[in-house]
Amino acid sequence: MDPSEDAGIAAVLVQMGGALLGEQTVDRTLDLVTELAQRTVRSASAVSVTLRKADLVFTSNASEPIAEELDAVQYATQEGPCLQAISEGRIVNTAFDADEDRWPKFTAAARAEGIGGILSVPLTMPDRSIGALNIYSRAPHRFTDEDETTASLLAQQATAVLANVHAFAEASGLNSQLRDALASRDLIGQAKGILMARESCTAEEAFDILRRASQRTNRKLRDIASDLVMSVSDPKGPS
Amino acid sequence: MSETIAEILSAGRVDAGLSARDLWFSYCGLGGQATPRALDRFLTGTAIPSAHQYDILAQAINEALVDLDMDTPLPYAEDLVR
Repeated sequence: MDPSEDAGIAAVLVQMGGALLGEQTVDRTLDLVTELAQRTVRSASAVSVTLRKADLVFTSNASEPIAEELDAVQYATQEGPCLQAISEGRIVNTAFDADEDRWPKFTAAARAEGIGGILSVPLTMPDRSIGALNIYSRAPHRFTDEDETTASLLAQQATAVLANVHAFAEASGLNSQLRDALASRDLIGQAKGILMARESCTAEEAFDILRRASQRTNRKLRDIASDLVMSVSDPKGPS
Repeated sequence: MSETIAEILSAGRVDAGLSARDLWFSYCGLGGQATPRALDRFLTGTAIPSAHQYDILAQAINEALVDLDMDTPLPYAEDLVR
């Protein structure tokens, strides 16, 4: 690797470090991982990232159309090194020579496109594999140990970002549930206050009045509360 | 008796398709004051909610049951023989 190439990689790493969390970040980071793999793994001809979400397996990023096409052959035939790397959670590094007979349909398609080998590194979380980094080569031999190490480091980077985004999405969901709960709670609190003043009752008794109205009308308690609050803040409105 | 209340709440929660966390958010939205951990204790029977807190939980579960068109509401505290 020459020094200018080193500088390029440093720039990519800086971009990666500065990325913020979000869907856009995932795509950008996986693009960067793809780009880095293409640059740093010497015999790489095309690179892709496969993701698995629930039962869906798809290519999220690809450096060259050929990678996306051959990934698609694997998904369609349900066989291939990338799928094996994901299901077994282990690196698959192979050359499509005469001895390779594990995935006949995929291997035939790869050979027809002039691809000589593939390195698939699973993106592994503690409990499962969420995808794979696939590096295709036109050279007719296996990737080196050094290539495996480099690809593994990049796969780890991609996995870390994906795991963070997953946690972020979960936290966002919690946030919106909490916002809803607080809005409802505030509204019901106001309605209870109105009833306490009007009926000279306690907060618990005010809740019971709302609860019974909810039961009687088969409507949500917060809707009953909302009507009550509206009727006070806008006496001309529906009560 | 605490076991019975825990059983009523737990069965209702399951019927309503609510996770313990979902139930807590609904309960909190209705003005419930117990923490998520206290709610876990109510559900497992290691603590008993006050009648008022029980009613808020029953209301939360009943609203979820109505959303599922299930006509098997939990009884409120006044209907329970304590």
